[in-house]
Amino acid sequence: MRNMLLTLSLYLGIYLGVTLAICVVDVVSLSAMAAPSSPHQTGPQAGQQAEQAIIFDVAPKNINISADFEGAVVTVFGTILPQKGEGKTTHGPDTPNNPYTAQLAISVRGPQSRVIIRERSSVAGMWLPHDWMAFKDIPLYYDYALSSALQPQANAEFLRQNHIGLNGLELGADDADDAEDAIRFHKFENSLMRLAQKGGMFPYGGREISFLGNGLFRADFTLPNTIPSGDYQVRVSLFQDRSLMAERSEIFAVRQTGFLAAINEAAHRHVMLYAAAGFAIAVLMGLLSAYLSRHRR
Amino acid sequence: MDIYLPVAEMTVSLEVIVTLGASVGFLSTLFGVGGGFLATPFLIFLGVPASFAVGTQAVQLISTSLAATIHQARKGQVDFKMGSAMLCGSLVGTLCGILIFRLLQYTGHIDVTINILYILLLGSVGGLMAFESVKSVLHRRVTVEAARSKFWSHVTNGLPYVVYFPKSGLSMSLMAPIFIGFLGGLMVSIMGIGGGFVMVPAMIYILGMPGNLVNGTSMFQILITTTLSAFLHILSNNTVDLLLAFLLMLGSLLGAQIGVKVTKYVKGAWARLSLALLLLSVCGMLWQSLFIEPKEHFKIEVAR
Repeated sequence: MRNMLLTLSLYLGIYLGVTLAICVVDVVSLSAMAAPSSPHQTGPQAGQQAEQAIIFDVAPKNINISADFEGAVVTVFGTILPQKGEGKTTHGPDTPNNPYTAQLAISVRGPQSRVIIRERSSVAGMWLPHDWMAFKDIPLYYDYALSSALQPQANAEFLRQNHIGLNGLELGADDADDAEDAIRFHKFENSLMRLAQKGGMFPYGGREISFLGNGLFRADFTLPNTIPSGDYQVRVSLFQDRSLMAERSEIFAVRQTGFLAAINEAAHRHVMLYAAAGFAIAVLMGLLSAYLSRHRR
Repeated sequence: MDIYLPVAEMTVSLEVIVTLGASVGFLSTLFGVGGGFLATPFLIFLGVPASFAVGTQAVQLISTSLAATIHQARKGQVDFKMGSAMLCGSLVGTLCGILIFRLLQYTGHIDVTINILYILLLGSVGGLMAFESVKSVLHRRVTVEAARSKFWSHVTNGLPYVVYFPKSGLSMSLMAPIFIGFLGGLMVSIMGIGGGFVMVPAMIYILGMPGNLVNGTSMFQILITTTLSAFLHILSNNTVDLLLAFLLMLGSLLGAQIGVKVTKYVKGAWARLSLALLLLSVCGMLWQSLFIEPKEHFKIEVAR
């Protein structure tokens, strides 16, 4: 018994020592982290001040991730305004807001991150992760919709030029050396594309933009329950004869709420508290378990 | 029912996680192994990033090993002196393991090493235990003491610093438990598991400890090392999801209760035989995943 107490107090001492050391590390790392992270990149805002040819909004503006989050549907809706000099007939056969000729593209781009693709290959008969490539600034969600008038016009070259669609994403290797071997780069790029589509990151399934009359348009985007939290950018571009007429973007937010948000916040902001809470929960559950098993005997 | 993990930022099935926790709790009560060798690969299989699986598993292990240690100590089945001797080795082993890990990372052999180590260890330990326990079941040998082979007692007898361990009733060199603890510590940092499944047989076959003391002593040892590694995981890389850990603990609470009831009926050689079969089946699973060509050669990994 005395031995047991001695060892226990010894380990209590070790715990306290380690905790103290960790506190010091924590304070140092917190002060290093105090510099604010760079704000979310919002992409081109080209037509915003120049032309007001599109007015649109996103609903809901805030998506809450709760513990039983099952995905969400985001509706992008808006209207195409008649341009100056067009007169009062807003639905002439050649005006951009005619539902049969309006060339509209809507894209939704989630928060971005570094993404690593690993390849397993046979090494001495064993299938092991052998080669890998890291890509930078990959959106963790991307989807887009084209109006039926734009679809026949939108060949691969057009989409790439206007940064629409999967080929317009401009995947870049994190390490510049990786981009040099074109064959290897394309192998990993294609795998990234394929896996992202399979996993729901790039769920493009031919979304439609529907027109409700009077230049009013609407498109629905289904977000799976695997989406990360962050700011999502919606970009609406209006084209005429394959050239960009107007472009506007809006942002909607995906956030964790309530209890989950508190856990996430604690894990990243109050690391020491989080560690202590984890330890406390573990010890309490352990004690509870031991207590229960005593009663069973 | 699906539940969203706030820190790992992904959705998992609640039932699967609780069941996994339950089997870990069950194993730890029955065999004195942490269950990490089962839970970590399984969490990764469910899509939890490997770093989160290892980190969260460490926190969960604190509660499992604490409960098991208290339970065994109450029955007087923990040799604290022996456990402390092993700890001296395992804390050093953990540090050395980190060095080896970095070295292998640098040379690019880390994945090969981990995979081969897993298969070799699980296979050899499982195989030896199965062989021995089948033999002792057949011969109805009751004393576990006899499990210590002549070879090991010969080796350990020659070492200096002989100390008497009253609880185990053994007089042996301090070097032996320290060395075994060192091996366990190496595994904690290289393979990310508690190392119980290697420590338990080593304590029986190499140290010749009485079978009833083995579980408690190994659990006591795991409790200390896993606490340190859990803290390091939270503080250095934030790879612990407390909601996931809590669900695993909840499961293991249930599993431990079942385990306590079953312990009375599963004893000695039969318990060792069932653990051996479990180790061999996990080994078989790993072997299959390693040697059979996967359908998908590429894997995507989001670095947050």
